[in-house]
Amino acid sequence: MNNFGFYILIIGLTLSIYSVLTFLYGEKSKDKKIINSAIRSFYLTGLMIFISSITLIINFLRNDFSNIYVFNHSSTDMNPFLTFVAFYAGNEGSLLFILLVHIIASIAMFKFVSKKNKTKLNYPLATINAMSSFYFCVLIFFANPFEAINVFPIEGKGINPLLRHPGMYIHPPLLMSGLSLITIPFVLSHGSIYDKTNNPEWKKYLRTWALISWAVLGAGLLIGAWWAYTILGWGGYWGWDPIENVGLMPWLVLTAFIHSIIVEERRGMFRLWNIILISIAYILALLGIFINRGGPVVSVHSFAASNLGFLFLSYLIVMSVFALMTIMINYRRLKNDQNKINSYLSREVSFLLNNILLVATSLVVLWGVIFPVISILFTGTEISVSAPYFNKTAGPLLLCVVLLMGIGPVLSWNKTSYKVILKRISIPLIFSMISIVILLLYNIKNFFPLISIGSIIFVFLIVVTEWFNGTKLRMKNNSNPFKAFITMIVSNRGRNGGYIVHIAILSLALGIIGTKFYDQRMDVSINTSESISFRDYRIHFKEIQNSSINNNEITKAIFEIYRKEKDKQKYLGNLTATHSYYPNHNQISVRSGIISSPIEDLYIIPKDFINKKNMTIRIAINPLAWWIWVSGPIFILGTVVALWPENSKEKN
Amino acid sequence: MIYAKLNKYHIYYLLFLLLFVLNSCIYEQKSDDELYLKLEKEIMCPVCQGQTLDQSQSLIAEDIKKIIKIKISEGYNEKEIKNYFIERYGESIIAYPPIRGFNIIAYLVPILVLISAFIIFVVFVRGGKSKN
Repeated sequence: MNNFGFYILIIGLTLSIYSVLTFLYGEKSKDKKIINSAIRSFYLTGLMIFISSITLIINFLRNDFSNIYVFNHSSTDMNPFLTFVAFYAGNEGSLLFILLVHIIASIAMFKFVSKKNKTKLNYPLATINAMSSFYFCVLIFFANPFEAINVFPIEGKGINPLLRHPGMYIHPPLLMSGLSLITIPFVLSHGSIYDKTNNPEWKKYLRTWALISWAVLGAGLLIGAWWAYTILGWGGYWGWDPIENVGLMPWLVLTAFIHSIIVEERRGMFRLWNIILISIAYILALLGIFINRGGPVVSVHSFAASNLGFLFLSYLIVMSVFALMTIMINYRRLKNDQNKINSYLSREVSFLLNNILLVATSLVVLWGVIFPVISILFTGTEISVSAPYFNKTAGPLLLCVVLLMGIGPVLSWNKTSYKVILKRISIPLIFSMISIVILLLYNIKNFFPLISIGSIIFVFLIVVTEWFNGTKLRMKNNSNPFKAFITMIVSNRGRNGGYIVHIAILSLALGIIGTKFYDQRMDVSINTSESISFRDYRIHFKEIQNSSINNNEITKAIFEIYRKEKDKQKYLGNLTATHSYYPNHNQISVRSGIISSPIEDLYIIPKDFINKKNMTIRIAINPLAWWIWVSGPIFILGTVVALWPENSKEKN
Repeated sequence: MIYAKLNKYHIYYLLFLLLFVLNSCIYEQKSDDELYLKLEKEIMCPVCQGQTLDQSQSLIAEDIKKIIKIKISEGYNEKEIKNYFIERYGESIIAYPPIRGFNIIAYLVPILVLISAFIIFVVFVRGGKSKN
């Protein structure tokens, strides 16, 4: 089986190289037969990747521990459902996974493009196949997932315990897919350059594929935060770790792109700028892959670390030069191919400001990520750049972006008069001012949270008024308000889907403000059947349960939680905090106990088990944390609405 | 040329951005508990890869947390405690680059990025503005 998988990889490499050459030659000679042959070998490459992935999965299911990768990431007692997780749990498998996503997305994109535009895709497809060839080479020469040994160990090492969590079924694959998917809008932008007719369909493709990769990456980041919150046991969800940052940067730039591509669709502006943006997003995604695979910065995410850094750095450099060259060669034409801006008070200008802020934010984050390396290069001293730095530099910029979400929608395309703006913002502005006054009365005096909550309410009301007016307009011929609301949403899916995503971002921002500025923590040592009070809560330590599953020592601390309400105490439920030790991996994993409500989360982290009856815990109150996780489903709903294909009948 | 053509909107945009940056530089007085929680977020765990103390459950991190608590109860202030750890573990024990010497660049670049973003914005809109 192992040899078979390896040979399939070699055939795949041959096919993808053949495909690159024939696409290039086919484009030069305009020979239909050659191009068809290239397309066929492109499909066959996909088939080879698919077969080798299946082979690896079969190896896992057969518990073939002579395969080193299977040996390192699986064991006989492993739940078969975790096979999927084990597949990408290490360097080799995750590279195969990235290649699999790359080829599936490329084939899907090719099928999706209309027949006429396919003829413009020869160069982009050559690029795609060259990328596949690179991954094939890495897999074959440096990170072979089918490497075997001659002995047959009866038991494998088992999967990394930190990965045994529902979040791990989705977080790593979504993140890797997201980074890999950015390739598609990037090569599509090259397709749009080669099509000299400036066909509007390209903008549709670009918007769709950028949205898909943006949504996948965003969902991956959010689920990663959720995983950290529930399992890493420190009460936080975002540590500004280098690996998190390199996922965030392309997402921010993609956020800019999905806005500015609308301006290009609607107003024929920003053509050159959009191509620059998507190239930056792609290069940042490659930087993410590079840093993940053994880049020069330290990170907790060492699951896929390897010594292949130099390979991915060279790849990063080659692709950056390629992207830059493509822009330079076509610079003049792209620059003249766009309309002009008429007024400062227009939606396109607000989008431009959004773009520049988002790109600036991701550059600031990038600077923080690489600064430790720069400091060592220039001064020789090692320094750390962690959360406090990013909160101070990137935090305020992100707040500006949130505020812009309120200003953008009130501006019309092309030109807006002062009167119209005033009319649109007056009511939301008054309400948000009132809410700031109310917060002041409740003794919330920090400048940053005050402004943030004020702008969150402002932006929310802007969207609500917009929807309210739209629904009222449609109520004239249809008395059912719910039905009217739905027809209003459906009438402009792109825009309303966008608004739904804006609401998700507001919910996320609210949770971040609450947890960042008003969290409370207390460390206590507590005996069983003892009670302690923390704020309005009474925490009763019921018992400690010890168990041992397959050598792994699992200790559960069970608490009963009560809340004081007037004279009574309301029983809120049991809370279980788990502390597990995995001797095979010499690793500790802590799962916090959480009781969640929209107002605040009570969060208990087990710290030390002093003896069978006594332990140290950290009790934390995380206000508004619930809103962070609620934003996830809203975010996905908004993206689905925005992506849902419009019926041809409904147009206009 | 660009500067001569600045109008009031530009000033608004610029003020709006600078306001947030300035705000984040303002410090406040802290109680003992608050100081502890602040230090826990601003001091790195020396053996964990890129984790601050509050993110880490390693034994060394727990020890350092205990030392911080003792130092606070002995009346040491924020700066003294940080210096104590810098002497022991070096500059990289603090979770952000020190605001002096070469490392000031770490803070200057974000400000420069912001200013150049603003200039690019103005140039973009002006350069792209149609004549009519």
